[in-house]
Amino acid sequence: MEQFRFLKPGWWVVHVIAIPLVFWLGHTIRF
Amino acid sequence: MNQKKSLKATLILALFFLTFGGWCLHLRIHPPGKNSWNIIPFITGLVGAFCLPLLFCFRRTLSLAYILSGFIAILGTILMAHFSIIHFQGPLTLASLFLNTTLPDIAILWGRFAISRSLFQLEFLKSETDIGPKGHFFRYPNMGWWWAHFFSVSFIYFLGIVLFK
Repeated sequence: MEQFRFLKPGWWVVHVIAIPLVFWLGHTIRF
Repeated sequence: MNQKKSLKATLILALFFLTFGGWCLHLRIHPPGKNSWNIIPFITGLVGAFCLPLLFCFRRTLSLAYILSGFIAILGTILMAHFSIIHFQGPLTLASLFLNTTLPDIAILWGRFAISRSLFQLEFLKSETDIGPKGHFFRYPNMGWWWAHFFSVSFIYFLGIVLFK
């Protein structure tokens, strides 16, 4: 878990993947 | 089996039954073949019911289980709230808010998260007199961290809805 701490490489990787994914979800979802 | 292990086993069972029940109910209302978006609750339910209880069994995977559980609750809350806003009919009253929206479903999700948090905290409990969560409120694994992520994820999801249409 240490590599995922604030501003560590793992933290950046997770956020760079997750933010566009959530944005894309909101952009494309049609209920 | 000592008291702590017994409590842990009970909480893991509660987590499994609650998620499995919610997953089955969801399958009945929104079968995955009907709409492509129904695959999201299908997968998250599958992970929640069958993977999370297993991940909570081992100390090595405890943090992963806790994080997965929290983000499933956040994602489920946002998606179901969005669904309710789109499909809401009739005047907004207290009764319609409770009975004609996905608020009860969201409540179940957060109940499930509370069980996950108990499992996480139980692992570090040494005695009854231990003090509660330590450290900064907005740092992992405290609740402030979850609140910050709930509002951030909601905001990015909302930006996805309103931008570049």
